[in-house]
Amino acid sequence: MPDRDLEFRAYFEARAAVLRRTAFLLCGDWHKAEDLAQTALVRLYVAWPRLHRDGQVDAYARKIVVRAAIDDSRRWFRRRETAMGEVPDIQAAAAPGVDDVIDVRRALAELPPGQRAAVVLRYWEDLPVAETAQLLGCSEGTVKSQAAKGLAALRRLLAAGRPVLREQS
Amino acid sequence: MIAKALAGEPPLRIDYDAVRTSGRRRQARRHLGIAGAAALSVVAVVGAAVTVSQFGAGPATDDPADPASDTVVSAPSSTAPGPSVSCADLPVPPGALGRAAQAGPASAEDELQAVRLSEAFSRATLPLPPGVSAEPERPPLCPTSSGSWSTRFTLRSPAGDRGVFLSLVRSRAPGYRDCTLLATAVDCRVSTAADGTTVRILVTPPDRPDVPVRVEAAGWRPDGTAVSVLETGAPGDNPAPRILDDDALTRILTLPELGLSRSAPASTTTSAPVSLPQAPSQRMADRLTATLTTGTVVPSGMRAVQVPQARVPALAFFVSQGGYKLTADLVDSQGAGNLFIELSPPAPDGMAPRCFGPDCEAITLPDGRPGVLARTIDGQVVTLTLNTVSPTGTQVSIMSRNRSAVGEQKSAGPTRRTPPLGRDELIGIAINPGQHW
Repeated sequence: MPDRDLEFRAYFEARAAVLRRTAFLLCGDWHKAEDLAQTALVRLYVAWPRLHRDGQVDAYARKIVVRAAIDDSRRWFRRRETAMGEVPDIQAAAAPGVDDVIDVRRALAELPPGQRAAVVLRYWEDLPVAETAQLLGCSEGTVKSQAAKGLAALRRLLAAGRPVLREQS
Repeated sequence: MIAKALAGEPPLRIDYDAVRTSGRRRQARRHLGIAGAAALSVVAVVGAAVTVSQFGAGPATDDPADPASDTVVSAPSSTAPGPSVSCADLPVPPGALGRAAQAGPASAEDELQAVRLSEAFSRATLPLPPGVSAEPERPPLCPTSSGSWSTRFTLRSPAGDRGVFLSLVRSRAPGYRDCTLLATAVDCRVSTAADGTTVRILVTPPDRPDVPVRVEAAGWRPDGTAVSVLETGAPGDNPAPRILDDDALTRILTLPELGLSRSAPASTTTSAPVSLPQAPSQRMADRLTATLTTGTVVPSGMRAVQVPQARVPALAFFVSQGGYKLTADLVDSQGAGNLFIELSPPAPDGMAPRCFGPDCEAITLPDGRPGVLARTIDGQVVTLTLNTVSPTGTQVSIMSRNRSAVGEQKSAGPTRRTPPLGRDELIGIAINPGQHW
């Protein structure tokens, strides 16, 4: 196996699940998240030598996923893709309360694409404002306001549905 | 808070080989595109010449390698057991856009299971309505790298073609088997089949005339096998209607031939049930920090220095990406190097760390857990990484690099000759029993 494949395989093993989680937070559908992550990984493979040399692998993958998710979520027929038909194999007892899960997913889905992306990138990916702005192609001020509005909207939506979550958030 | 949205994460089904193959094709197309642009005029001339020369000639001979001929000539019927095509040659049915291919690197046990399943499935009778045929007639069950087995085939009917994707995985009870988490737009029903299988069928109706209806059926069988069937179609002006009704789907989900053999040991990718830990919190980060003792992490003669990325003091965990991270520079007279620890939620497929690359060693930690120790060199920057999994499933990754993280530039060179922590020190951190949540 060539070095490129070995390096890419190690990256794939380490990051595929993380990429899919980010994609899921952006689009709310595990099937679509998998497609987004797979698309990003295929493009990564093509550009691997350059990206690996420049240390830009994660940033590039994130950019593909975020932009594809935003583009997709702005399409009017996106509701078609909201089915969750996986065969889930998670222990229910160990998972968070079903109601909590639904609340957070619904609240995230309620956010406009830009706010959702800003929230996910800032508070899930832990990206600095500058990097988030570069990735979303907007100013740092826009990122700050989008993230703040998104977080406030999340809290409001969750609090409206489940008062108990106010403390946790 | 956001991490809660990830509850119920299904096993990862992105297949490495499929990604690599697609990447190579894309790369080849790109190269072809560059060459093609230069040769466009030549191609046009040659193409015109060929067209003229074939004008009036008889029909071309059937080329078995021509995918177009496959769509016209149906597979010959045979009574011989076994799949009619290999996993590598499995055609892509309608509606497969963007989905992962089935085949992937699998354990020897999973490969054996695949052979057994494929032979059994080739003897099964699919409950197809009159006038409908499956192509290929006997598709193989292909193992995937994530510990499942899957196949796909096309249903040909007078009203149009539909794609079917079928997969099997060892069920880990109890799981979400109801309709609670689904969007209201989805028609969902749950029932119990005669053999005790819990069957859930989801129908996502099209909200546009050119979008095909999507039907997903999942069955949790008493034999411990979870089967899922997705029937969908290609979008178009007049997409093909649904072919398999609820009864047919239920019969597929309960086919005795699709039971995973208990005699074959489960691979490492499916043996352990996955449980989600609590959502990360700063309180838990503080508890994790408290489990680290300076003597364990920082060798004698070294000191830990905070790095800006951490936003917390050196040797303190912080919440990040649904898990916890720690990053600090370790400094001595040789210079500064970086220590990075990442604790991530259990892998969705319960996958144990595996070795890739020439400088990688599968090891057994003193407490008996498996681990993978890898050494990578990028220019003069050397990185030692130890990956393991805690008894509770937490993925632990510990990295030592001979480059400082303070003012780190991706293209910067090393800031000391060797990584600050060696193999033994990384193992010493990995066996910290408190390193999970």
